[in-house]
Amino acid sequence: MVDSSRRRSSRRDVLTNHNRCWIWGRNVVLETLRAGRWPIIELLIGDRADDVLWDEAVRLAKQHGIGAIAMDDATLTKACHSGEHQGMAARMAPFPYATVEQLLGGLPADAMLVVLDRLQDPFNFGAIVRSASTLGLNGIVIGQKEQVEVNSLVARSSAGAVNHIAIASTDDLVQTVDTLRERGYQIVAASEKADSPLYETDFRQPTVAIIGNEGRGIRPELLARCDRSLSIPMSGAVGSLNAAVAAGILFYEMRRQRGLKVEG
Amino acid sequence: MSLILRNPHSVEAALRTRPADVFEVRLAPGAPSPRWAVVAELAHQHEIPVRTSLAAPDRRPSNQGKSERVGAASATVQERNDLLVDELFTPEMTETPGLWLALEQLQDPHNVGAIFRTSSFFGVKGIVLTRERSAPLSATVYDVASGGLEYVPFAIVPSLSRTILLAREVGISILGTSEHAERGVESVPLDRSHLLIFGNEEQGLRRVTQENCDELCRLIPHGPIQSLNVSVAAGVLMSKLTARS
Repeated sequence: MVDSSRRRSSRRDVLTNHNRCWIWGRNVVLETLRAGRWPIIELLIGDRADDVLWDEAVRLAKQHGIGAIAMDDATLTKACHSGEHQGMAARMAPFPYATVEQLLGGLPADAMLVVLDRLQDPFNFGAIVRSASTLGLNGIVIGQKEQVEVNSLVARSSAGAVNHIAIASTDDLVQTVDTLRERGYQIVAASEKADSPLYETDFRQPTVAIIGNEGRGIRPELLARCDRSLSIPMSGAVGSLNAAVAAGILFYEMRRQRGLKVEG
Repeated sequence: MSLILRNPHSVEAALRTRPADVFEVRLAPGAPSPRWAVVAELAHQHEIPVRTSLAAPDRRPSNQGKSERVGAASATVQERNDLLVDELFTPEMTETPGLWLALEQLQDPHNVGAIFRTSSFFGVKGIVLTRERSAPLSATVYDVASGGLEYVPFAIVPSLSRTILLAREVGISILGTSEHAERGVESVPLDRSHLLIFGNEEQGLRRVTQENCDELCRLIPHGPIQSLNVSVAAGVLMSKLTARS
Protein backbone atom coordinates (compact mmCIF):
# COMPACT_ATOMS: atom_id res chain seq x y z
CA MET A 1 0.00 0.00 0.00
CA VAL A 2 1.21 3.46 -0.81
CA ASP A 3 1.64 5.72 2.15
CA SER A 4 -0.72 8.47 1.11
CA SER A 5 0.57 11.08 3.51
CA ARG A 6 4.10 10.70 2.16
CA ARG A 7 2.95 10.60 -1.41
CA ARG A 8 1.13 13.88 -0.95
CA SER A 9 3.85 15.63 0.94
CA SER A 10 5.66 16.63 -2.23
CA ARG A 11 2.60 18.42 -3.58
CA ARG A 12 0.86 21.56 -2.50
CA ASP A 13 -2.37 21.23 -0.60
CA VAL A 14 -5.42 21.72 -2.76
CA LEU A 15 -9.00 22.72 -2.07
CA THR A 16 -10.89 19.54 -1.00
CA ASN A 17 -9.65 16.82 -3.34
CA HIS A 18 -7.84 16.45 -6.61
CA ASN A 19 -11.03 16.42 -8.71
CA ARG A 20 -12.90 19.21 -6.99
CA CYS A 21 -10.17 21.79 -6.54
CA TRP A 22 -11.04 23.69 -9.72
CA ILE A 23 -12.86 26.92 -10.25
CA TRP A 24 -13.94 27.75 -13.79
CA GLY A 25 -15.62 30.47 -15.79
CA ARG A 26 -14.21 33.73 -17.08
CA ASN A 27 -15.56 36.05 -14.39
CA VAL A 28 -14.85 33.92 -11.35
CA VAL A 29 -11.29 33.10 -12.41
CA LEU A 30 -10.46 36.69 -13.35
CA GLU A 31 -11.97 38.09 -10.15
CA THR A 32 -9.91 35.62 -8.14
CA LEU A 33 -6.73 36.57 -10.02
CA ARG A 34 -7.40 40.28 -9.64
CA ALA A 35 -8.14 40.04 -5.92
CA GLY A 36 -5.01 37.98 -5.30
CA ARG A 37 -6.31 36.65 -1.99
CA TRP A 38 -7.17 32.99 -2.67
CA PRO A 39 -3.95 31.23 -3.78
CA ILE A 40 -4.06 29.73 -7.28
CA ILE A 41 -1.84 26.74 -8.00
CA GLU A 42 -2.12 26.84 -11.77
CA LEU A 43 -4.11 28.67 -14.38
CA LEU A 44 -5.42 27.00 -17.53
CA ILE A 45 -6.48 29.11 -20.50
CA GLY A 46 -8.38 27.65 -23.45
CA ASP A 47 -8.88 28.76 -27.06
CA ARG A 48 -12.24 30.29 -26.27
CA ALA A 49 -10.86 33.02 -23.99
CA ASP A 50 -10.76 36.33 -25.88
CA ASP A 51 -7.47 38.15 -26.45
CA VAL A 52 -7.94 41.02 -24.03
CA LEU A 53 -8.88 38.72 -21.14
CA TRP A 54 -6.10 36.31 -22.13
CA ASP A 55 -3.53 39.11 -21.85
CA GLU A 56 -4.88 40.30 -18.52
CA ALA A 57 -4.95 36.76 -17.08
CA VAL A 58 -1.39 36.02 -18.17
CA ARG A 59 -0.11 39.35 -16.85
CA LEU A 60 -1.77 38.81 -13.46
CA ALA A 61 -0.54 35.21 -13.28
CA LYS A 62 3.03 36.37 -13.93
CA GLN A 63 2.71 39.07 -11.30
CA HIS A 64 1.58 36.52 -8.68
CA GLY A 65 4.06 33.83 -9.81
CA ILE A 66 1.35 31.45 -11.01
CA GLY A 67 2.03 29.03 -13.84
CA ALA A 68 -0.33 29.62 -16.79
CA ILE A 69 -0.88 26.86 -19.34
CA ALA A 70 -2.55 27.37 -22.71
CA MET A 71 -4.56 24.47 -24.13
CA ASP A 72 -7.46 23.69 -26.41
CA ASP A 73 -10.98 23.81 -25.03
CA ALA A 74 -11.53 20.05 -24.98
CA THR A 75 -8.43 19.45 -22.83
CA LEU A 76 -9.54 22.25 -20.52
CA THR A 77 -13.00 20.67 -20.17
CA LYS A 78 -11.37 17.40 -19.18
CA ALA A 79 -9.05 19.06 -16.68
CA CYS A 80 -11.68 21.05 -14.78
CA HIS A 81 -14.54 18.55 -15.27
CA SER A 82 -16.91 21.16 -16.63
CA GLY A 83 -17.80 22.37 -20.10
CA GLU A 84 -18.88 25.75 -18.71
CA HIS A 85 -15.37 27.12 -18.31
CA GLN A 86 -15.61 29.87 -20.96
CA GLY A 87 -11.92 29.30 -21.66
CA MET A 88 -10.59 29.72 -18.12
CA ALA A 89 -10.05 27.46 -15.13
CA ALA A 90 -7.78 27.51 -12.10
CA ARG A 91 -6.60 24.85 -9.69
CA MET A 92 -7.04 26.21 -6.19
CA ALA A 93 -5.26 25.93 -2.88
CA PRO A 94 -7.45 25.72 0.25
CA PHE A 95 -9.62 28.80 0.80
CA PRO A 96 -7.90 31.36 3.07
CA TYR A 97 -10.49 31.75 5.84
CA ALA A 98 -9.90 34.49 8.37
CA THR A 99 -10.10 33.71 12.07
CA VAL A 100 -12.87 35.43 14.04
CA GLU A 101 -10.22 37.59 15.79
CA GLN A 102 -8.80 38.73 12.47
CA LEU A 103 -12.27 39.57 11.20
CA LEU A 104 -13.26 41.50 14.33
CA GLY A 105 -9.95 43.33 14.38
CA GLY A 106 -10.60 45.24 11.20
CA LEU A 107 -14.23 46.26 11.59
CA PRO A 108 -15.78 49.74 11.71
CA ALA A 109 -17.77 50.68 14.83
CA ASP A 110 -21.16 50.16 13.16
CA ALA A 111 -20.35 46.91 11.39
CA MET A 112 -22.91 44.54 9.87
CA LEU A 113 -22.06 40.84 9.96
CA VAL A 114 -23.79 37.63 9.00
CA VAL A 115 -23.43 34.28 10.79
CA LEU A 116 -24.41 31.17 8.84
CA ASP A 117 -25.58 28.25 10.94
CA ARG A 118 -25.09 24.93 9.09
CA LEU A 119 -26.01 26.12 5.62
CA GLN A 120 -25.89 23.12 3.29
CA ASP A 121 -26.69 24.23 -0.22
CA PRO A 122 -23.71 25.69 -2.13
CA PHE A 123 -26.05 27.78 -4.31
CA ASN A 124 -27.55 29.40 -1.21
CA PHE A 125 -24.13 29.99 0.34
CA GLY A 126 -22.79 31.51 -2.90
CA ALA A 127 -25.83 33.75 -3.36
CA ILE A 128 -25.58 34.93 0.27
CA VAL A 129 -21.87 35.75 -0.15
CA ARG A 130 -22.75 37.70 -3.28
CA SER A 131 -25.59 39.63 -1.60
CA ALA A 132 -23.53 40.36 1.52
CA SER A 133 -20.67 41.70 -0.59
CA THR A 134 -22.88 43.74 -2.94
CA LEU A 135 -24.90 45.26 -0.11
CA GLY A 136 -21.81 46.25 1.83
CA LEU A 137 -21.85 43.91 4.82
CA ASN A 138 -18.51 43.69 6.59
CA GLY A 139 -18.02 39.96 6.98
CA ILE A 140 -19.38 36.43 7.15
CA VAL A 141 -18.78 33.86 9.89
CA ILE A 142 -19.38 30.15 9.29
CA GLY A 143 -19.03 27.11 11.51
CA GLN A 144 -17.01 24.03 10.70
CA LYS A 145 -19.58 21.30 11.24
CA GLU A 146 -22.44 20.51 8.84
CA GLN A 147 -21.62 23.67 6.91
CA VAL A 148 -20.82 23.70 3.20
CA GLU A 149 -17.33 25.16 2.72
CA VAL A 150 -16.19 27.64 0.12
CA ASN A 151 -15.83 25.28 -2.86
CA SER A 152 -16.07 25.47 -6.65
CA LEU A 153 -19.86 25.74 -6.67
CA VAL A 154 -19.92 28.38 -3.96
CA ALA A 155 -17.25 30.44 -5.73
CA ARG A 156 -19.25 30.16 -8.93
CA SER A 157 -22.65 31.06 -7.55
CA SER A 158 -21.10 33.96 -5.63
CA ALA A 159 -19.95 35.33 -9.03
CA GLY A 160 -16.48 35.74 -7.56
CA ALA A 161 -17.66 37.64 -4.46
CA VAL A 162 -15.84 35.14 -2.20
CA ASN A 163 -12.80 37.27 -3.05
CA HIS A 164 -14.29 40.52 -1.86
CA ILE A 165 -15.75 39.96 1.58
CA ALA A 166 -14.02 38.57 4.67
CA ILE A 167 -15.14 35.02 5.48
CA ALA A 168 -14.16 33.67 8.90
CA SER A 169 -14.47 30.06 9.98
CA THR A 170 -14.76 28.94 13.59
CA ASP A 171 -15.24 25.66 15.44
CA ASP A 172 -17.53 27.32 17.97
CA LEU A 173 -20.26 29.54 16.55
CA VAL A 174 -22.03 29.86 19.90
CA GLN A 175 -18.89 31.24 21.53
CA THR A 176 -18.45 33.62 18.58
CA VAL A 177 -21.98 34.94 18.97
CA ASP A 178 -21.36 35.41 22.71
CA THR A 179 -18.22 37.39 21.91
CA LEU A 180 -20.15 39.57 19.47
CA ARG A 181 -22.89 40.19 22.05
CA GLU A 182 -20.28 41.24 24.61
CA ARG A 183 -18.93 43.72 22.11
CA GLY A 184 -22.32 45.36 21.81
CA TYR A 185 -23.69 43.84 18.64
CA GLN A 186 -27.44 43.45 18.23
CA ILE A 187 -28.09 39.81 17.24
CA VAL A 188 -31.05 39.16 14.95
CA ALA A 189 -32.37 35.91 13.52
CA ALA A 190 -34.04 35.33 10.20
CA SER A 191 -36.51 32.73 11.36
CA GLU A 192 -39.93 31.33 10.55
CA LYS A 193 -40.94 31.59 14.19
CA ALA A 194 -40.54 35.32 14.29
CA ASP A 195 -41.69 37.99 16.72
CA SER A 196 -40.53 41.31 15.20
CA PRO A 197 -41.49 42.69 11.80
CA LEU A 198 -38.40 43.36 9.69
CA TYR A 199 -39.36 46.92 8.81
CA GLU A 200 -39.78 47.98 12.44
CA THR A 201 -36.28 46.93 13.46
CA ASP A 202 -33.49 49.49 13.83
CA PHE A 203 -30.39 48.31 11.97
CA ARG A 204 -28.30 51.44 12.37
CA GLN A 205 -26.52 49.94 15.37
CA PRO A 206 -23.84 47.25 14.93
CA THR A 207 -25.78 44.15 13.89
CA VAL A 208 -25.21 40.44 13.39
CA ALA A 209 -27.79 38.55 11.32
CA ILE A 210 -28.00 34.78 11.77
CA ILE A 211 -29.24 32.65 8.85
CA GLY A 212 -30.07 29.02 9.67
CA ASN A 213 -30.05 25.67 7.94
CA GLU A 214 -32.45 25.31 4.99
CA GLY A 215 -34.56 22.60 6.63
CA ARG A 216 -34.01 22.85 10.37
CA GLY A 217 -33.49 26.58 10.84
CA ILE A 218 -31.25 28.06 13.51
CA ARG A 219 -30.12 25.75 16.32
CA PRO A 220 -31.75 26.50 19.70
CA GLU A 221 -28.52 27.58 21.48
CA LEU A 222 -28.03 30.31 18.88
CA LEU A 223 -31.68 31.30 18.70
CA ALA A 224 -31.65 31.78 22.49
CA ARG A 225 -28.89 34.37 22.07
CA CYS A 226 -30.82 36.49 19.57
CA ASP A 227 -32.29 39.81 20.63
CA ARG A 228 -35.11 39.33 18.15
CA SER A 229 -36.41 37.04 15.40
CA LEU A 230 -37.40 38.90 12.30
CA SER A 231 -40.38 38.16 10.12
CA ILE A 232 -40.65 39.20 6.52
CA PRO A 233 -44.24 40.34 5.86
CA MET A 234 -45.97 37.83 3.61
CA SER A 235 -48.55 39.05 1.13
CA GLY A 236 -49.39 35.76 -0.56
CA ALA A 237 -51.51 32.91 0.73
CA VAL A 238 -48.97 30.11 0.97
CA GLY A 239 -45.26 29.53 0.85
CA SER A 240 -41.96 30.26 2.48
CA LEU A 241 -38.75 31.93 1.37
CA ASN A 242 -35.54 30.29 0.29
CA ALA A 243 -32.64 31.04 2.70
CA ALA A 244 -30.73 33.11 0.14
CA VAL A 245 -33.78 35.20 -0.79
CA ALA A 246 -34.69 35.82 2.87
CA ALA A 247 -31.07 36.83 3.54
CA GLY A 248 -31.11 39.18 0.54
CA ILE A 249 -34.28 40.93 1.76
CA LEU A 250 -32.80 41.27 5.26
CA PHE A 251 -29.40 42.59 4.05
CA TYR A 252 -31.13 45.05 1.74
CA GLU A 253 -33.14 46.49 4.64
CA MET A 254 -29.99 46.71 6.80
CA ARG A 255 -28.27 48.59 4.00
CA ARG A 256 -31.29 50.78 3.22
CA GLN A 257 -31.49 52.10 6.77
CA ARG A 258 -27.88 53.23 6.55
CA GLY A 259 -28.36 54.80 3.12
CA LEU A 260 -28.22 52.89 -0.10
CA LYS A 261 -24.86 54.18 -1.20
CA VAL A 262 -22.43 51.27 -1.38
CA GLU A 263 -18.72 51.75 -1.92
CA GLY A 264 -17.69 49.88 -5.01
CA MET B 1 -45.33 15.01 -19.74
CA SER B 2 -44.79 13.67 -16.25
CA LEU B 3 -42.01 14.69 -13.88
CA ILE B 4 -40.23 12.90 -11.04
CA LEU B 5 -40.33 15.26 -8.04
CA ARG B 6 -38.08 14.67 -5.04
CA ASN B 7 -38.95 17.57 -2.74
CA PRO B 8 -41.84 16.59 -0.42
CA HIS B 9 -43.02 20.23 -0.36
CA SER B 10 -43.47 20.35 -4.13
CA VAL B 11 -45.30 16.99 -4.10
CA GLU B 12 -47.53 18.11 -1.22
CA ALA B 13 -48.49 21.30 -3.05
CA ALA B 14 -49.43 19.29 -6.15
CA LEU B 15 -51.52 16.91 -4.01
CA ARG B 16 -53.35 19.82 -2.42
CA THR B 17 -54.09 21.69 -5.64
CA ARG B 18 -54.52 18.99 -8.34
CA PRO B 19 -54.43 15.48 -6.86
CA ALA B 20 -55.65 13.92 -10.13
CA ASP B 21 -52.26 14.79 -11.67
CA VAL B 22 -50.24 12.85 -9.09
CA PHE B 23 -49.76 9.30 -10.39
CA GLU B 24 -47.64 7.61 -7.79
CA VAL B 25 -45.69 8.30 -4.60
CA ARG B 26 -42.62 6.19 -3.80
CA LEU B 27 -41.23 6.16 -0.29
CA ALA B 28 -37.78 5.09 0.81
CA PRO B 29 -37.54 1.96 2.99
CA GLY B 30 -37.93 2.63 6.70
CA ALA B 31 -39.97 5.31 8.42
CA PRO B 32 -40.66 8.30 6.16
CA SER B 33 -39.56 11.79 7.22
CA PRO B 34 -42.38 13.92 8.71
CA ARG B 35 -42.84 15.79 5.41
CA TRP B 36 -43.09 12.60 3.36
CA ALA B 37 -45.48 11.14 5.96
CA VAL B 38 -47.83 14.09 5.23
CA VAL B 39 -47.45 13.39 1.50
CA ALA B 40 -48.24 9.69 1.98
CA GLU B 41 -51.32 10.50 4.07
CA LEU B 42 -52.65 12.92 1.42
CA ALA B 43 -51.96 10.35 -1.31
CA HIS B 44 -53.91 7.71 0.65
CA GLN B 45 -56.88 10.09 0.96
CA HIS B 46 -56.91 10.56 -2.81
CA GLU B 47 -56.38 6.85 -3.50
CA ILE B 48 -53.06 7.45 -5.21
CA PRO B 49 -50.69 4.46 -5.08
CA VAL B 50 -47.96 4.75 -2.46
CA ARG B 51 -45.12 2.27 -2.91
CA THR B 52 -42.13 1.59 -0.74
CA SER B 53 -39.06 0.44 -2.54
CA LEU B 54 -37.51 -2.68 -1.05
CA ALA B 55 -34.01 -1.99 -2.23
CA ALA B 56 -31.73 -0.46 0.37
CA PRO B 57 -30.73 3.13 -0.38
CA ASP B 58 -27.43 3.53 -2.17
CA ARG B 59 -24.78 4.21 0.45
CA ARG B 60 -21.73 3.99 -1.74
CA PRO B 61 -19.17 6.62 -0.82
CA SER B 62 -19.35 8.07 -4.35
CA ASN B 63 -22.92 9.18 -3.68
CA GLN B 64 -22.22 10.79 -0.33
CA GLY B 65 -22.78 14.48 -0.12
CA LYS B 66 -24.29 14.89 -3.57
CA SER B 67 -27.84 15.19 -2.40
CA GLU B 68 -29.60 13.80 0.59
CA ARG B 69 -32.57 13.11 -1.65
CA VAL B 70 -30.79 10.88 -4.17
CA GLY B 71 -32.22 7.36 -3.99
CA ALA B 72 -34.81 8.51 -1.50
CA ALA B 73 -38.51 9.20 -1.89
CA SER B 74 -40.07 10.65 -5.03
CA ALA B 75 -43.37 11.09 -6.82
CA THR B 76 -44.53 11.04 -10.42
CA VAL B 77 -46.54 14.15 -11.18
CA GLN B 78 -48.04 15.49 -14.39
CA GLU B 79 -46.72 18.92 -15.45
CA ARG B 80 -49.01 21.77 -14.57
CA ASN B 81 -50.78 23.35 -17.55
CA ASP B 82 -49.77 26.84 -18.52
CA LEU B 83 -52.42 29.48 -19.24
CA LEU B 84 -52.80 31.74 -22.25
CA VAL B 85 -51.18 35.07 -21.53
CA ASP B 86 -54.60 36.75 -21.94
CA GLU B 87 -55.90 34.74 -19.00
CA LEU B 88 -53.34 36.40 -16.72
CA PHE B 89 -54.79 39.84 -17.40
CA THR B 90 -58.56 39.27 -17.27
CA PRO B 91 -60.80 41.88 -15.56
CA GLU B 92 -61.09 39.62 -12.47
CA MET B 93 -57.32 39.31 -12.22
CA THR B 94 -56.71 43.05 -12.63
CA GLU B 95 -59.56 44.27 -10.41
CA THR B 96 -57.26 45.04 -7.49
CA PRO B 97 -53.70 46.36 -7.87
CA GLY B 98 -51.02 43.71 -7.82
CA LEU B 99 -47.72 42.52 -9.17
CA TRP B 100 -47.04 40.40 -12.26
CA LEU B 101 -43.61 39.14 -13.35
CA ALA B 102 -42.09 38.40 -16.74
CA LEU B 103 -38.89 36.37 -17.10
CA GLU B 104 -37.07 36.91 -20.37
CA GLN B 105 -34.63 34.14 -21.28
CA LEU B 106 -33.72 33.20 -17.72
CA GLN B 107 -31.49 30.18 -18.09
CA ASP B 108 -30.77 28.83 -14.64
CA PRO B 109 -33.49 26.47 -13.34
CA HIS B 110 -32.51 27.38 -9.76
CA ASN B 111 -33.31 31.02 -10.46
CA VAL B 112 -36.64 30.23 -12.12
CA GLY B 113 -37.63 27.87 -9.29
CA ALA B 114 -36.60 30.33 -6.57
CA ILE B 115 -38.56 33.13 -8.27
CA PHE B 116 -41.71 30.95 -8.33
CA ARG B 117 -41.24 30.14 -4.64
CA THR B 118 -40.84 33.80 -3.68
CA SER B 119 -43.77 34.79 -5.95
CA SER B 120 -46.07 32.47 -4.06
CA PHE B 121 -44.93 33.99 -0.75
CA PHE B 122 -45.56 37.55 -1.94
CA GLY B 123 -48.81 36.79 -3.78
CA VAL B 124 -47.65 37.59 -7.32
CA LYS B 125 -50.67 37.34 -9.63
CA GLY B 126 -49.00 35.72 -12.61
CA ILE B 127 -45.66 34.96 -14.28
CA VAL B 128 -44.96 35.15 -18.01
CA LEU B 129 -41.97 33.13 -19.25
CA THR B 130 -40.35 33.24 -22.68
CA ARG B 131 -40.02 29.94 -24.49
CA GLU B 132 -36.74 30.24 -26.39
CA ARG B 133 -33.34 30.19 -24.70
CA SER B 134 -34.99 29.82 -21.31
CA ALA B 135 -34.80 27.14 -18.66
CA PRO B 136 -37.68 24.69 -19.30
CA LEU B 137 -40.02 24.02 -16.37
CA SER B 138 -38.25 20.82 -15.37
CA ALA B 139 -38.50 18.75 -12.20
CA THR B 140 -35.59 20.81 -10.81
CA VAL B 141 -37.64 24.00 -11.19
CA TYR B 142 -40.65 22.40 -9.45
CA ASP B 143 -38.49 21.12 -6.60
CA VAL B 144 -36.59 24.38 -6.09
CA ALA B 145 -39.93 26.24 -6.16
CA SER B 146 -40.96 24.06 -3.22
CA GLY B 147 -44.65 24.25 -4.16
CA GLY B 148 -44.54 27.73 -5.70
CA LEU B 149 -45.32 26.39 -9.17
CA GLU B 150 -48.71 25.17 -8.00
CA TYR B 151 -49.92 28.46 -6.61
CA VAL B 152 -48.80 31.07 -9.14
CA PRO B 153 -50.49 30.97 -12.58
CA PHE B 154 -48.09 31.21 -15.50
CA ALA B 155 -48.02 31.53 -19.28
CA ILE B 156 -45.27 30.68 -21.76
CA VAL B 157 -44.87 33.01 -24.73
CA PRO B 158 -42.56 33.35 -27.76
CA SER B 159 -41.65 36.93 -26.88
CA LEU B 160 -42.81 39.57 -24.41
CA SER B 161 -44.07 42.16 -26.90
CA ARG B 162 -47.71 41.06 -26.81
CA THR B 163 -47.60 40.55 -23.03
CA ILE B 164 -46.46 44.14 -22.61
CA LEU B 165 -49.28 45.40 -24.86
CA LEU B 166 -51.91 43.37 -23.00
CA ALA B 167 -50.68 44.51 -19.61
CA ARG B 168 -50.52 48.15 -20.65
CA GLU B 169 -54.08 48.00 -22.05
CA VAL B 170 -55.42 47.10 -18.61
CA GLY B 171 -53.47 49.86 -16.91
CA ILE B 172 -50.48 47.93 -15.56
CA SER B 173 -47.22 49.87 -15.62
CA ILE B 174 -44.30 48.11 -17.29
CA LEU B 175 -41.24 48.13 -15.06
CA GLY B 176 -37.99 46.74 -16.44
CA THR B 177 -35.03 45.88 -14.26
CA SER B 178 -31.56 46.92 -15.33
CA GLU B 179 -28.27 47.41 -13.56
CA HIS B 180 -27.83 50.53 -15.67
CA ALA B 181 -31.09 52.16 -14.59
CA GLU B 182 -30.84 55.37 -12.58
CA ARG B 183 -34.05 54.98 -10.65
CA GLY B 184 -34.06 53.01 -7.42
CA VAL B 185 -37.02 50.83 -6.50
CA GLU B 186 -37.66 52.92 -3.38
CA SER B 187 -39.09 55.71 -5.55
CA VAL B 188 -41.46 53.50 -7.57
CA PRO B 189 -45.07 54.38 -6.64
CA LEU B 190 -46.99 51.57 -4.95
CA ASP B 191 -50.53 52.73 -5.74
CA ARG B 192 -50.72 50.91 -9.07
CA SER B 193 -50.15 47.53 -10.66
CA HIS B 194 -46.76 46.62 -12.10
CA LEU B 195 -45.42 44.09 -14.56
CA LEU B 196 -41.84 43.60 -13.41
CA ILE B 197 -39.51 42.21 -16.09
CA PHE B 198 -36.23 40.38 -15.47
CA GLY B 199 -33.72 39.60 -18.21
CA ASN B 200 -31.13 36.90 -18.79
CA GLU B 201 -28.52 36.33 -16.04
CA GLU B 202 -25.63 37.55 -18.23
CA GLN B 203 -27.10 39.90 -20.80
CA GLY B 204 -30.04 41.42 -18.96
CA LEU B 205 -33.13 42.56 -20.86
CA ARG B 206 -33.15 42.54 -24.65
CA ARG B 207 -32.93 46.03 -26.06
CA VAL B 208 -36.34 45.89 -27.72
CA THR B 209 -37.89 44.90 -24.38
CA GLN B 210 -36.08 47.71 -22.54
CA GLU B 211 -37.42 50.20 -25.04
CA ASN B 212 -40.93 48.88 -24.48
CA CYS B 213 -40.83 49.45 -20.71
CA ASP B 214 -42.47 52.48 -19.13
CA GLU B 215 -39.60 52.69 -16.70
CA LEU B 216 -36.40 50.92 -15.70
CA CYS B 217 -35.36 50.49 -12.10
CA ARG B 218 -32.68 48.86 -10.00
CA LEU B 219 -32.22 48.16 -6.32
CA ILE B 220 -29.38 50.50 -5.52
CA PRO B 221 -29.57 53.85 -7.29
CA HIS B 222 -26.33 55.42 -8.55
CA GLY B 223 -24.28 52.57 -7.10
CA PRO B 224 -21.47 50.74 -8.82
CA ILE B 225 -22.45 48.26 -11.51
CA GLN B 226 -22.39 45.11 -9.49
CA SER B 227 -25.32 42.97 -8.82
CA LEU B 228 -27.22 40.44 -6.84
CA ASN B 229 -28.20 37.03 -8.08
CA VAL B 230 -31.37 37.51 -10.15
CA SER B 231 -33.54 35.40 -7.83
CA VAL B 232 -32.33 37.39 -4.80
CA ALA B 233 -32.85 40.72 -6.60
CA ALA B 234 -36.32 39.51 -7.63
CA GLY B 235 -37.07 38.65 -4.00
CA VAL B 236 -36.07 42.09 -2.74
CA LEU B 237 -38.04 43.84 -5.50
CA MET B 238 -41.12 41.71 -4.81
CA SER B 239 -40.89 42.50 -1.09
CA LYS B 240 -40.78 46.21 -1.95
CA LEU B 241 -43.50 46.26 -4.61
CA THR B 242 -46.02 44.22 -2.63
CA ALA B 243 -45.57 46.25 0.57
CA ARG B 244 -48.91 48.07 0.29
CA SER B 245 -50.41 49.17 3.54
